[in-house]
Amino acid sequence: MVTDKIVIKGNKEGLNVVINMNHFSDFDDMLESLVKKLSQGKKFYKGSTLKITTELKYINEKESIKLKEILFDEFLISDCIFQDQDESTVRLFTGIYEGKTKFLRKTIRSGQSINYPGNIVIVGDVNPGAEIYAAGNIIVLGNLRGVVHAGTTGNEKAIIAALKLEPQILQIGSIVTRSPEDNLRPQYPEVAKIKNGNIIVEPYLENKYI
Amino acid sequence: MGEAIVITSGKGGVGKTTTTANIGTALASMDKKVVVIDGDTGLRNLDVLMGLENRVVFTLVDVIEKRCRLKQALIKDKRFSNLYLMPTAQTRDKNDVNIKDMLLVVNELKEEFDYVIIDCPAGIEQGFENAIVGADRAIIVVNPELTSIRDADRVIGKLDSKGLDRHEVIINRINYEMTKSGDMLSVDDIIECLAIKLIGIVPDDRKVTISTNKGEPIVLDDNSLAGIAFKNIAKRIMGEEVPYATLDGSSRSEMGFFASLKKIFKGI
Repeated sequence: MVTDKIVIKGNKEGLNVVINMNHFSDFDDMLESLVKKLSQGKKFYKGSTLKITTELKYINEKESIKLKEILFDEFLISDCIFQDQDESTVRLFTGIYEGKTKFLRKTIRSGQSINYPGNIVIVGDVNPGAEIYAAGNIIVLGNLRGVVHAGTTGNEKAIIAALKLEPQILQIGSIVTRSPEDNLRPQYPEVAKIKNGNIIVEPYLENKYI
Repeated sequence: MGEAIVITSGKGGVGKTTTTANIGTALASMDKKVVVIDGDTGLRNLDVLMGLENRVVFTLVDVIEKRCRLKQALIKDKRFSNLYLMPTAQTRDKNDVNIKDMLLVVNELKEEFDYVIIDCPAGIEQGFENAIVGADRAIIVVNPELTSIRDADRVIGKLDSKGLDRHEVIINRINYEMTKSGDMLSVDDIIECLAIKLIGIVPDDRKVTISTNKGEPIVLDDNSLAGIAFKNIAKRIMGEEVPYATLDGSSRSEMGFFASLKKIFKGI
């Protein structure tokens, strides 16, 4: 039955179409089934991002171009991303030197929340009442005065750095802390990280490796 | 086609209605055709500040519910024939006005007036949504207090998310002595935190309370510091370049490169 071969799931990033290539005789057989399945809700896909998750070793470049053309022309999707099924299993961030990064060039204001499954670099300020969540590291080229949580998926090697680090609440992995109430404003960039099970904050100095 | 400006803040009591009345009056005194809209359904005050409370017959809600024509609800000001007030109902609430109706009213007024100034209620609920819907730009009023700045920051975020990205800030009720002694946030602190353009600084002035109780906008008093500040804001809205007073007699534009260097070396 077609339903078992192709599964369509909705998530925050758009629509994920999981195709099990082992159930099809060839690419054209799969394409026919996919078009048939997507045709049931044709209007629904207009302007959306489709992520095709499948074993990419079974699809060559020519075939992937053909698939994209059909999706763009017939279903009017806005974007199409291919992901290898073998790589689709979510991995934890295990250190600070890997993973995708989101760059934001703006002030994150009170009431705004940023959540990203990678590193976040903000060129601007994070104001009180704003929230930043990252599976990786958080770097703020400005004042950090909101709520920040790095290593949301459990990575305790993640770091949080800012030109002025004055968060309301700072969390790395499962360890939480808050700013001291001494009203002293930092005079230099600082880095927060976990050392011996505690969050420590130290100045970021030139030529100093994290 | 005129320009619609919403006066907002998030926090209550910072001076939105006072600002609306004074900017409206100042623009009218400069020969612009102006209408001020009270967006605070259920808690209207703009009519009182303009001394027009006894002239309210029809309201914005009457226009929306088709009980009268738009022109019937407009009240001509006592002092300026080119200044009008669109009052709102006192016996209804914010949910009696919706975004679609408000947009129609604002767009219709923009065709006839140079400036449509909307007094936004406190908060970020339905009243706020109604007030900002037809606006081309926003002026955020803040007091030099952390609570006011936090709320203004939230409002700026909301405005951005609605696509209203032309916004400036008015710092109201600033006290030079307190700023100098470090007991009050300075203009620079506020601008650094909010990261938006400054359009005016209004000093704390006891004459504002007197003028409010009389129903006479402070801009009509040429000897009032606050009145002068509101006039300057009106000029800036019209595109004029007016230097900002620092409340100690000098102007902020005098703070040039060398003055800044001096400040750094002094360790200020």
